[in-house]
Amino acid sequence: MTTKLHDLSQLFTSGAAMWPRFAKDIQYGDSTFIGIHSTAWGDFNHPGWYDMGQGFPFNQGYCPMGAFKWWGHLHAGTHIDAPLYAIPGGTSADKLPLENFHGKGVIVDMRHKEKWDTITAEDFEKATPKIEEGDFVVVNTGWHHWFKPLGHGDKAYEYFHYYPGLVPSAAEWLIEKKVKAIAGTWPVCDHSLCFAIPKWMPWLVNDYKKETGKENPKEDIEGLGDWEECLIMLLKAGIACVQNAGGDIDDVTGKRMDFAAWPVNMEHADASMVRLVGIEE
Amino acid sequence: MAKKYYDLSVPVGDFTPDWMGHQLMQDTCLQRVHRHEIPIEPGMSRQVSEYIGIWHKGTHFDGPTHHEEGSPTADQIPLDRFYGTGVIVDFRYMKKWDVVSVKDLENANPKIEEGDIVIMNTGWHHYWRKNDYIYYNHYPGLYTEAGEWLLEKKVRMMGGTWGATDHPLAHYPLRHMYHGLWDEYKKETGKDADKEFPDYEPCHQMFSSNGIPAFENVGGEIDEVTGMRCTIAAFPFRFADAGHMTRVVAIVDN
Repeated sequence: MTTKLHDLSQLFTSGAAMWPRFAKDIQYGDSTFIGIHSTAWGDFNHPGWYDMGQGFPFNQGYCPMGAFKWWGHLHAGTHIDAPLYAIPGGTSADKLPLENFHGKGVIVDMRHKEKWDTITAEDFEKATPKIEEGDFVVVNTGWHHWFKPLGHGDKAYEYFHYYPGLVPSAAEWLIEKKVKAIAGTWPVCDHSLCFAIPKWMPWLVNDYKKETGKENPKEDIEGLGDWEECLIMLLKAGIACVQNAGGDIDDVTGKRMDFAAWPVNMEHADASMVRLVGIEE
Repeated sequence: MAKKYYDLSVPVGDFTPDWMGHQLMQDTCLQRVHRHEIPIEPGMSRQVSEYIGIWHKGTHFDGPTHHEEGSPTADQIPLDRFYGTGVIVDFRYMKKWDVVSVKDLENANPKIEEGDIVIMNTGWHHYWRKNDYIYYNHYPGLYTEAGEWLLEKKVRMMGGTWGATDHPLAHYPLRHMYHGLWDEYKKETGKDADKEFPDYEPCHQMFSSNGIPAFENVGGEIDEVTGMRCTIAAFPFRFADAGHMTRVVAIVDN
């Protein structure tokens, strides 16, 4: 029996795309990377550490040490949101059962969806291959191609503001189907326009107005939810929510296989970066 | 077929112990940030914690760039390295400063087969957060010979319930770098640690240059699966860095 592993995660590196609103708290331009630091060993290469003229083993075949430091939130790159993120008193990432993040499932093709299209219960109902009860559902919207690091134009704008996403009736469908997890090539499972709230993302409201001449997307998009309404529904139902899927997803879209996406064991964490992997036996 | 999952990782958070004496290393801090500003309904909020610290905390692996500048970043290690069948061997009979020998590895139960993932249980995870001094300075560990044996066995991935992949006395010229531990060893054994352990981090370098992920600070529910052969998974998130914390999971088919 051979196992084939498919990487369905986005590569996170310096300058990787981040939620625009987080720019307020962390430097968006530099992302949250401080970069390579010789944190562990750098300072030891100091005259004080030389003994009787003998050099520190850096020049005796010993290697300098590089280690990354992180200063920032945990919703970066491919990650899961824990209930604690959106539900006060909810479960943190480290306390979620491991079986919630591994199991059989399917990658459904939603690449026909265009800018600001909604993903509905009907889309899930008609999806091929069929979504079964208890599945780990991965949705390919095609939007992962816009997940571009800085220096590649402003393409991350499309990624965070135009992606097709779920409306609450679709989340309801997933809950009724008792799916194990929902992953997608989106910044969050909720439709991009649920964030079009003047106080929060005025530029998105302006963008929508410019394009459609209308003020409030809720008035003309059927069933559009509130701010992260689907995410909260899914988290309350104990469904794992994986955001920013991508990687080699196009190679395996339309297939059934096992999936895994375990969060890091970090106390009180409201999210965790994960590796979303497709496991084909 | 029902599966049972065992968590082989230790929790990370505030007050997570780490290597001693690292001047630039800053304490890990998980800062809770509440947002109450979302104008949808009163009382609605989000929690967005921020992690401040080094990635090599808790249960983590060291990527090649941890040791060699310009070598591949952690995301370039093939996924196959982090998933497969493996054994969790029982080294809980080992005592303070024991060196894992070739004999220990050959007689391990279950037998270590070629291409296995090998997780070694020294029992030292019980000191995690209980006695950091004993945890980081006294654990039984690997040295050159054991490392070479594991390399010959072409292990896919390895890990242990210890502070680091190499023996606690085999990291640097101890007398210069960590005089207290050198003294302690001298007092107890009458030997010079720098003469007994002349290689610095041999296993770290061996594994990292051969693309074998080496997990440190394994623990959690490991005692429940020690002595078993099962599926082990430890997929690290896809960051271009020098290694980082990862959930290590043992999957047992019932």
